[in-house]
Amino acid sequence: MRRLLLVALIILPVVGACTYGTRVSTIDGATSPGGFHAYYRTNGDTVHHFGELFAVDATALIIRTDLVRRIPWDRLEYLNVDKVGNAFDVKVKQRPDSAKIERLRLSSRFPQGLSDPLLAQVLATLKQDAIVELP
Amino acid sequence: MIRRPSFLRRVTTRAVLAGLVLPGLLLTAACVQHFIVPDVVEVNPRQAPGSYSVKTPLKVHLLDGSTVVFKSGAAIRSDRIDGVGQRFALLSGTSVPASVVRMDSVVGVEAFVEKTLVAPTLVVSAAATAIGVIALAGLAVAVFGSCPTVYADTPRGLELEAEGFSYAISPLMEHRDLDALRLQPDARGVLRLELRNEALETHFINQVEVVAVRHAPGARVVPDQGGHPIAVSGFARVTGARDRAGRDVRAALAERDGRLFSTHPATVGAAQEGDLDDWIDLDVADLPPGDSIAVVLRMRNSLLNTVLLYEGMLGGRDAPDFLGNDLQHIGKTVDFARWYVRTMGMRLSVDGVPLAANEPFEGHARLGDIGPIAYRDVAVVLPRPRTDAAGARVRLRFVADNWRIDEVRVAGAITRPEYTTLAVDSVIVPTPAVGSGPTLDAAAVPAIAAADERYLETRPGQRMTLVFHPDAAAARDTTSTYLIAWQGWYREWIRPGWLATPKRTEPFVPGDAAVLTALRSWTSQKDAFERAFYSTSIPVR
Repeated sequence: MRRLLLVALIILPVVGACTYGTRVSTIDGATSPGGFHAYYRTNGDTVHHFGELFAVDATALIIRTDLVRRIPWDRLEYLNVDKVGNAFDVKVKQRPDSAKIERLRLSSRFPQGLSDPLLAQVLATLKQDAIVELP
Repeated sequence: MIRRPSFLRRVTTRAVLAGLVLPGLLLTAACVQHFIVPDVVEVNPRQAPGSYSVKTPLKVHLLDGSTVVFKSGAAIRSDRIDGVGQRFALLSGTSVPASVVRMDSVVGVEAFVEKTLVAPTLVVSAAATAIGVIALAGLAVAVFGSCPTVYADTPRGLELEAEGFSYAISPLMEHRDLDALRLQPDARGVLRLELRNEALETHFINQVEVVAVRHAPGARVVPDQGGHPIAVSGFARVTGARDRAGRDVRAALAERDGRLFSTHPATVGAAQEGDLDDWIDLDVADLPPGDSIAVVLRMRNSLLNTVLLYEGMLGGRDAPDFLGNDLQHIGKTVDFARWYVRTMGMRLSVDGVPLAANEPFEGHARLGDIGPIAYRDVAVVLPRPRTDAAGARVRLRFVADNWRIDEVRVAGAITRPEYTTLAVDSVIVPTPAVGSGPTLDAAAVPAIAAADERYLETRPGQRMTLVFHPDAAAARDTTSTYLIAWQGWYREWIRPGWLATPKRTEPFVPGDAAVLTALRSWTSQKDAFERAFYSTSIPVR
C-alpha cells in the first residue's frame, strides 16, 4: 500500500488534470451579493418552493420567495440547494446539524444575520410589511 | 415484476468498487480526475497576520447592509481588503466599482472555494455519493441508446409524449428526466399515462411522478437544462439564424411545424477528428429587461448516437463484457462520461460573456442528449452580455447531424414557478399475461412511488397505465401545465447479429475517431436505418 501511494505521488504531478463538478464561478450566490438559491417544502405543504437564502440561524431559515419567509427548522420537510452538492442539502425529515447550519448561513445573502434594523431596512426595500412567519 | 435488490449489497459493492477503482484510476488514467464540490468558508481578517491573498470569489458584508464582491479574490490586510471588486447596495442588482474596503466597515467576509474530493475521501464517501459525483459533472446523462416511452391517453387516442432517461445504459448512469406533457386531465379530472417498453431492453424504473405547475396565461412551462421547471415568456424577435454552412435556417426553426433543422451535408462531409461540430448562430432583438435569456428548443436526437451505440460500443464481441462489466465500474463510467460531456449533447454560449476557465465543455451551458424517439421542449438559461441588454447572439454548438430541431425561440422573462408533485395513484395492466381483463398492479405503485432501492422492471412488449389524480382546483385551471418526472436506467439486449457479424474487432475507445466512424456510417445508411429503426418498435400487448 505504501508503495502504491509512493507511485501515486510520483505520477500525479506529471499527468494532466481533468475536473468534474460545479465551479464556484458558475454559482450566482458566490459571485453576486445574493444568497444561494434552493428548493424546499414545508411539512404538510403540497407545494415545492424556490427561493433565495436570506439568513440562517440555529432556529430557523429565512428565505425569499415571493415574500420573505421565516421557516423554523422543525417545519422544514427538505431543502435542496441549487447547483451545489449534498453537503448543503437538508434531507427529508432531517434536522440539520450545526455544521450544516453554518454552511447554509454562509451561503445566505446575510450571513451576518438579520438584525432588527437590517430586517426593517430589507422589508422596507421590498415593500413588505412584516416577515411571513410559519407557526 | 419488481426487483428488490439488497440495499446493503448495493452499498457494499459500490464501496468496494470505489475503493478499488478510483485509486486505480488516479494511478493509471491519462489525466487525474479531480472531483470538486463548491464550499464556503468564513474568513476572519482580524486574525490574519500581515496580509494574504484569496484567489477565489470573496464576498465582504458591510455595516450598512451593502456587499462588495471580489469575483477573482482579493488581498486581505489588517486594515483593508484590496482587489477588483463591485459594491452592491442593499438588495440592489447594480453595482459600482470598489477596489478598497476599509476593515472598520466590515461585518463579515466569506470565501467560496472548490474542495477537491481526494481519493481517501472518495473511498469513504463513494458508497453514498457515487451517483452524486457522476451527476455533478452532468455525467448521468451519458451514452447512447433508446429508453422507455410514455403516451398520453387523449380523446384522439394515444399520443407519444416523451422518452425517459435516454442513454442511461448502466445502473451508474441512472438519472432523472423532466418532460413537459401536452396532457390535461380528462372529464373526471384524472391524468392517464401509458408507460411502454417498445425496445429490446429491460427497463429499471425507479420513480415516476407528475409535476403540476400553475402559471400565468401566456407563459410556457418547460424544464431547464438542470431538470427544473421554469416559466418563460417575453419572447424576443429572432433576427438571424445561420448554421456553419452559412445557410439562413430561420424558416426551419421558426415554428413547431415538423420542418426540421438538420446539418448541411457539406458540414457533415467536412467533419474530422478535432473538429466534429456544426453550429447555429442565433441573433435576437427586442428582449424585455432582465439579466438572463432562455433558449427554448423543441428537438430530438438523430440516430447518430444510436449508430454509435450499436456499431461502436456494442459493435464488437466484447459487448456483453462492456455492458455487464466495464459500465458497472466507476472508473470506466467516468472515462466515458468525461468524453461524452466534452463531445456530445449541445453546448450554448453567448457572445460577449467570458467563458469560465477549465469547464469540462466549451460553453456557458450544456444540454445532454435527449433521445431519438420523442421531441422534447426544453429551455437553456443563459446570461445576457449585460443587464437589460435588448439583443444577444447565442451559438448552439453540437456534433454534426446529432440533432433534429423543430423550433427555437428565445425568451427574456424567466421565473421559477411553484409546483406540486402527484404520486401515482394506481397502475393498471390492460392485458396481463395471466387473466383476461385489465388488472391493478398493486406492487408497481410502491416500486415507482419514490427514488429508492425499489424498481419496476419491464420487458419488451409490456405496457401499463399510470393513473394520477390532480387536485380539483388544478384540474379545472386552464393555466396548469403537467410534466412527467421519471428516473431509472435500462439494459440494452445484445442482438445475436452484433455478435455474429461484429462491426469492430478492437476494443471500443471513446473519442473523436469513434464519433467520426459512426458519423460516416450513419451518413451512408441514413434513410434505410431511419426506416428500420422507426418501423421496428416492439409491439406492446
